This record gives sequence, structure tokens and C-alpha cells, in this order.
Amino acid sequence: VKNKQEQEQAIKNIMNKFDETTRNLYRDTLALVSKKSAHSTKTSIRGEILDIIKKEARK
Amino acid sequence: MIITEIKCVNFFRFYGDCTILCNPTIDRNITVVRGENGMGKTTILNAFYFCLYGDVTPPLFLSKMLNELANHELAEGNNTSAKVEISFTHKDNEYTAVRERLYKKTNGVVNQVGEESFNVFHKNPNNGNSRTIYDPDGFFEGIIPNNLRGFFFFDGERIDRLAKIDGRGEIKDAILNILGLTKLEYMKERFEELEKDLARELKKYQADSNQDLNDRYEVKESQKIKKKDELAQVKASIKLASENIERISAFLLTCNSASIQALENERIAVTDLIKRIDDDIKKFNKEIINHATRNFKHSLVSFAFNDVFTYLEGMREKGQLPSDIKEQFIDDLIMKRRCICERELIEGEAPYEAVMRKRANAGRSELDNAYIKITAYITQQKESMKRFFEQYFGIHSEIIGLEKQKDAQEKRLAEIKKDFDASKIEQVKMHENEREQLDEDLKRYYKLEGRLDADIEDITKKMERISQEIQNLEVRGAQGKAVKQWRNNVLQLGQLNTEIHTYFIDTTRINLDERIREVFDSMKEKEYRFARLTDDFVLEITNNLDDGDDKRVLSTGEGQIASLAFIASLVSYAREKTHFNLLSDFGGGDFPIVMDSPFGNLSAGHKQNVAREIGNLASQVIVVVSNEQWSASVEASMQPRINAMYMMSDGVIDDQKMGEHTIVRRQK
Repeated sequence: VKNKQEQEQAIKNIMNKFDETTRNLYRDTLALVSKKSAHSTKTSIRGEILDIIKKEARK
Repeated sequence: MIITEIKCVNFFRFYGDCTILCNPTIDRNITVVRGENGMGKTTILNAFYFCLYGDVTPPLFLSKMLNELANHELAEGNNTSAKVEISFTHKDNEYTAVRERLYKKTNGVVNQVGEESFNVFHKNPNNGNSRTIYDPDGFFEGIIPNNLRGFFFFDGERIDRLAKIDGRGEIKDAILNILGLTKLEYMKERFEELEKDLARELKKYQADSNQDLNDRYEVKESQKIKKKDELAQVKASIKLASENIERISAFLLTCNSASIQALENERIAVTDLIKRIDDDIKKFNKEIINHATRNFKHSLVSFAFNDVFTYLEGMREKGQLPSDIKEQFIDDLIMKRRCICERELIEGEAPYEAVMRKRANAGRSELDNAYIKITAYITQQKESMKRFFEQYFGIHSEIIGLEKQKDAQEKRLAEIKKDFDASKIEQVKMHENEREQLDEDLKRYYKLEGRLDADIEDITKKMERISQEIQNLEVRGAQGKAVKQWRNNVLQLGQLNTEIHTYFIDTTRINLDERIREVFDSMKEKEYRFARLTDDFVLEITNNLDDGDDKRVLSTGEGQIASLAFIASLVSYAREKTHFNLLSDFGGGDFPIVMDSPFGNLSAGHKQNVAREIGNLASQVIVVVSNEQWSASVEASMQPRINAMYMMSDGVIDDQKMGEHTIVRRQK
């Protein structure tokens, strides 16, 4: 059985297989999806994800 | 979420205000509601469904929600309401959820007025004022999503289905939901859509000569959408057919004939056994494929090995390979110019030429070594081949044995079917015909489901390959390069999302498996039984017998215990998973279990064990139980954990025609 620390470490290991840009984008997208309300449409969420990506690209 | 109060007003059997106070503590976390059959036990469970999710389950219907007595008492032109209020705490905040319907009597008829209302009020801890929560449905969905409610508010007599093969979809879905993996699936879908949008955009910046790649991708994409739609339809059909079979089975189990009930019970047991045999057959088939995949080279080259070995041995017997005479020995004779037969060896003369001919066939050390190596290798490979086939036939004979068992059980099933057909009860015959058709349909749907799953997987793989090729194409202009970069980001995000998803599924299954085993052990009757959650998310009960004879004859009670163990594991997992909040719609924390008839099908031993352990299943347990299922020993086992006990009894009214109703009183 894996405890919390082991699980967190395993997630970190998976994240570290990807570059920093992808890691940042993933965290931001997850936060966005977590905040979405019942009224958010799939299209609007898709648009917001693309905005996050564009913003990251401009950095 | 901890429930503090449930108030039913004019809700089905409950006339006026009927309130149950819970207020569990760590030591005393069980609230018991007892009553005779027909007093409204099921209504209590449905009060949760109605208040929190807006529906009820048969035999209740919302059209008859207003209590009969309240209905009769309503004067012309007056209004009344039927409602359920549930007060609860969640993450140190106090809430009250209220769902209500208003009624008015006009021209002697009582009708619902306006829409049903649903509100959740949040009590401000500082001033005690309440404010209405915006989007109450969405708010409660974030506490216990509708599709998980069956794990928190359930009929104890029916949960044994989780421990049946058909429960696996439910179990996997519950795990996905409780972990919030549905959120990861939601993200996966958005990434796929976004990737599609960007691929379309990218087309504008690619050379025309490369457009066929995009076309190929789009064709695959539309094929995938079509297959997914078909799969969704097949899944819906499976669900519907299964529900109908369950309905027919419930009818047969409760019909007036004891022989029909016994037949149906036997059919359930036999069908269950066949499913388990099928599962084992699948397991062995998988094993045989794995074995062949890992070791197939042996079987592929086995004939070549035999041919080479026979050829080499033949040559050796003929003295051709390798010769007994070594090359070095001949060279020494030539050097000494004398043969072993003492003849002189002079170049050009017959003895010399004869010795030189021998030299041509003489065994060289390299050849010797090569021969030894190759024959040793072939001998070793022949042994491996032997082991390969022994193992192969070993697994194969297991499959044959299982198929024989399956045949025997299917024959028994056919006999049961004949007995049903011979029944003189018309309704039984009618249900049997319907069931036969449903069974046929289900078989067809399952085949179709498997085929569609495989097709979708195949198309997805092809799409991934084409997608990579598209990403490697040259694009024109700065905007084209930007789009290409965005698309690459989306592809990377999708990949990361998939890896995290896979990790969580595996880890959760392993952790839940461990917990299920512990909880099952605390409640089981037979020492040698073990519950586990398999790699395929099947809740399985196995025997751990020394003789290795795994006779799994699962009783309904054991299925119920295993299902309870699963639910308890899920709830305890939810309690501890608050640190994964970011991932989950299901916020984690403390949760209640509300059980109707927890002891329904249990043997005396199991009943005792469940009564003893029930308080450990969740932070709060609300048990609704019939007097018939209640006993002194059950009470004694549960007593130390009970915080309140309520009795439901028939309300006394002068005129029974006015409508029956239930009174709920707290026991001292």
C-alpha cells in the first residue's frame, strides 16, 4: 500500500518526465478545470485552455 | 459531510413534521431508525434521494409524494407543502438542504402548484444568519455526486450485486469518481478537441502536398467518433437489459410459489458460477497468450532445430562431421614424413595422397568447438521446447477442465429453464420468455462491446501515429510555427494527463484491495475466505485452502459483506484523500453511510459481525432496520456505538380511509 508521501513522490516523478512548460501548463489547466462551474461549456473551457497555452508561449 | 437532522414534512407516509436528530460523536456514531415492515423504512432512504437529488426509487413515485392524510385534510382553496430538510455539517460549515413541493386544493382536487424548489442554506458561524447557496445542485454534486449516491445511501439487501461480475463497471466508476479521475477524463476530452482544432488550423500553414496526411487523420477521427457513439448505445442497451433481467429476477424471487423462488435462487447461483468460470477461462487464455508471446520463438524454430540436429547427427555417423582424426595429427605425420602404418609419405605417391585426402575431412578444433556448441545449444533448446509445450498443454488442460465445468453448469441452467417453462403460473411463463430474449440480447451486446472497444483502440493508435507525422511536417510563417508549438503543448499535456490517470487507477486499486481485505476479514464467518479487488476491478471472494482447491460458492450474504467492505473502504479512502482536492469533484473528508436493511440476507453469524463492526464503516452510520431484523444480540453489539434510536409506528387516526401515516418517536 502506497502512503501519501509515496504517492506524491510518484506524481512528482511523472511530472518531472516532462519539461517545465508542460508542468506549468498542466497545473494551470487542472486549476482551471477544478474551478469550472456547472455553466462552463466545453467550448469555453477549451478556449480558456488555449489562452493558458498562448500566455505561456509569450513568456 | 455529517448529517445532523432529517425532517420530513407530509412526505409519503410521514404526516406533519417527523424529525430525526443524529449528532454523532466519534464514539457514538450510529443512529438507528426501527419499524415494522410497511412503516416507511424505504421512505427514509428516499428522503435522502429526494432532498439531495430530486428523485425517489420505486415503489415510491413523486406524483404521490404528498401524504394521504395531509391531502385529505386540505381544505378547498388552501395550500400545503411536502418537503424534506436535511441539515449537515461539511468541512466545519453548517448547511441545510430543503426540497419542497407546494400543493393547493381547487374544485376538490389537490394539485402541485408551481415548480419544485431546492435550496441549500449556509449558516454564518459568526452571526448565525443563513444565506442561500448559488447553484445548490452543483454545490451538492461537489459533496456527493449523484452517480456515487448508491455507495452512501443504499439498500443493504441489494448491495451484494457489487460482488457479482456485473458490478465491475460500477466499482470502476466509483473509484474514478471518488478519486476525481473523471476530472482527468474531462481534461483528456478537452485536450483531444483542442488538438483537433489546432490540427485543422495547422493545415493552413502546411504544404498542399502534405494534405493527404491531414485527410487520413480526419477520416480516422470520424471513424472513432462513430464507433464511440455506437459503443455508448451498446452500453446503454446492456444497462437496460441488465436492469430488466434484475426486475424479472426480483419478481420471481418474491412470487408466491416456493418452488419458483428456489429455482430462481438456484439460477442466480449457477449463473454466478458460470460467470466466474468464464472469468477463469479468460484468465487462463490471457496466460496462454502471454506464455506464447514470451516464448513463441521456441515453437517457431522447433522444427528447424529438429532438422538441424538430425542432419548434424547423420553427418557425424557417416564420419563426415567432425572426423575423429584431427587436422593437427595429419600435419604432424606429414612433418615426420611417415604414416602410423610406417609407410613413407612422399609427395606425389599414393600413401601421401591418401593421407592428404584424410586431412581434407579432418576435424579442426574450431569445427569441433562449433559442433559441440551448436549441439549443446540445440539440446538445451529442445529442453526449453519441451518445457514450453508442457506449460502450454498444462494451461490448455485447465481451460478444457473449466469448459467441461461450464458445460455441466449450462446444462443445469437449461434444465432450470425447462422447469420454469413448465410452470403453470402464467406470469412466470411471460417473464421467462422476456428473460430469454433479454439473455440473447445481452450476449449479442457484449460481443459488440468487445469488438467496438478493440476497434477504438486500434483507430486511436493509428491516429497517434498520423498525428506524430503531422507534427513533424514543415510549416510556413511565424503564425504557422506558433500553432505548431501550441499543438505540441497540447499533445504533451495529453500524454502527461494519461500517465497521471494510469498511475492513480493502479495505486487506488492496490490501496483499496488492501482495505477491502481488512474490512472483510473483520466481518467474515469462514476463516479461509478472502475478498479482493482484482486487476480488472472485480470484487472477488476467494478461498485460501491448503489443498489449492478453490471452491468458490459465494453466498448472497458473503456478497453483501464484500460489498460493504468495498463501500467502507471507499468511504475511508475518501476521508483520507483530501490532499487530492485539486483532482477531485469529490472533495474528501468525513462521509455518512445510510443503510436500509443492513441485515437483510445475512446469516446469524454475519449479522452479529456486521452489527459489531458497522460503526467502524464510516464516520457516521444511519441504519434503518425492521423489527424483524433487529434482535437482542444485534442491539447488544451495536449499543456502545448508538447515539440515538428512533421508532416508527402507525399513526392512530379515527378514520383509516383518511390515509395511513407513520409517527417517528425517539427512544429513551
